Amino acid sequence: MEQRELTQEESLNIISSMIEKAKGQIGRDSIHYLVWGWLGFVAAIGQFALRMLDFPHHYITWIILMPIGGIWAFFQGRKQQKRTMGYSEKAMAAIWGAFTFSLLIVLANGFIIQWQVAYAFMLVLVGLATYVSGAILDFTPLKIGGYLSWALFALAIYTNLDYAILAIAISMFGSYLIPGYLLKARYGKEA
Amino acid sequence: MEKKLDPLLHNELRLAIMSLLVSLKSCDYPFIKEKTGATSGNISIQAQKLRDAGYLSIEKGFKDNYPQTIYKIQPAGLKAFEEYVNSLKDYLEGNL
Repeated sequence: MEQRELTQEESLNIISSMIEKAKGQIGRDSIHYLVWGWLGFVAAIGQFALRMLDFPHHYITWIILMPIGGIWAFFQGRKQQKRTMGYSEKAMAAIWGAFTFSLLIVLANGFIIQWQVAYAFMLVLVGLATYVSGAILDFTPLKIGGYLSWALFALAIYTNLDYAILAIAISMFGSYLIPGYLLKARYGKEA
Repeated sequence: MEKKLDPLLHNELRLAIMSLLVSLKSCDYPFIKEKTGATSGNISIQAQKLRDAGYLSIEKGFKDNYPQTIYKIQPAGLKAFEEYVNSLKDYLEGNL
């Protein structure tokens, strides 16, 4: 950068440019929505398919795929250089940390509360986390994803387990994958 | 009457550094170097000027046995940046 007298317009351009470059860091987080979105979508669709085939251990898709996500997240966290700490990053870490713990509590009690109800609760939690994320990032597709998952709660709770599983699959697609790809498309270039 | 712009911020690299920190709250030295494209020496000199004015803090430490320098914006820096932007807006609105 040169050391010279700036015009006011140049000052504003520098400010805008740097803020856009800073925003690019948000694009790097889209990978989390994509990885978990695909894992959840495949697990849900897989479980649905296994149930249609009357396979007794249809839930095995979750048992196989979710730990893969957990291992990935662990190594991703170690690998990713935390070079910046934005205001929103702390809030996002808190939201998704709370989501993960809440989800684990629900799933740990799935046999007691029945899996259809557990899946319905999952949708409420997904809706909460994605909506709040969208609000923090000021990113509407995530907020819409939140609304979608909340609406899918009705499909899950008022029908049966098969529809609850489908609701999870739709939620993964609409609340994670679509916003994830849009986030990557919008901010990924500046990262 | 045109407000005088803060001379500390009315500089290309210092303004760029402060703009990044206003957005992110804190970042490390390689990030600033990558985003501004400035030389190492220039970043150090300009960052020190901002630190001496209380606009940012500079924390030096180690990460995985490598030296690490973290810049964090300070309340005085945020205030100064806000006033700078408002002055810019006033100037541009007055000139339209």
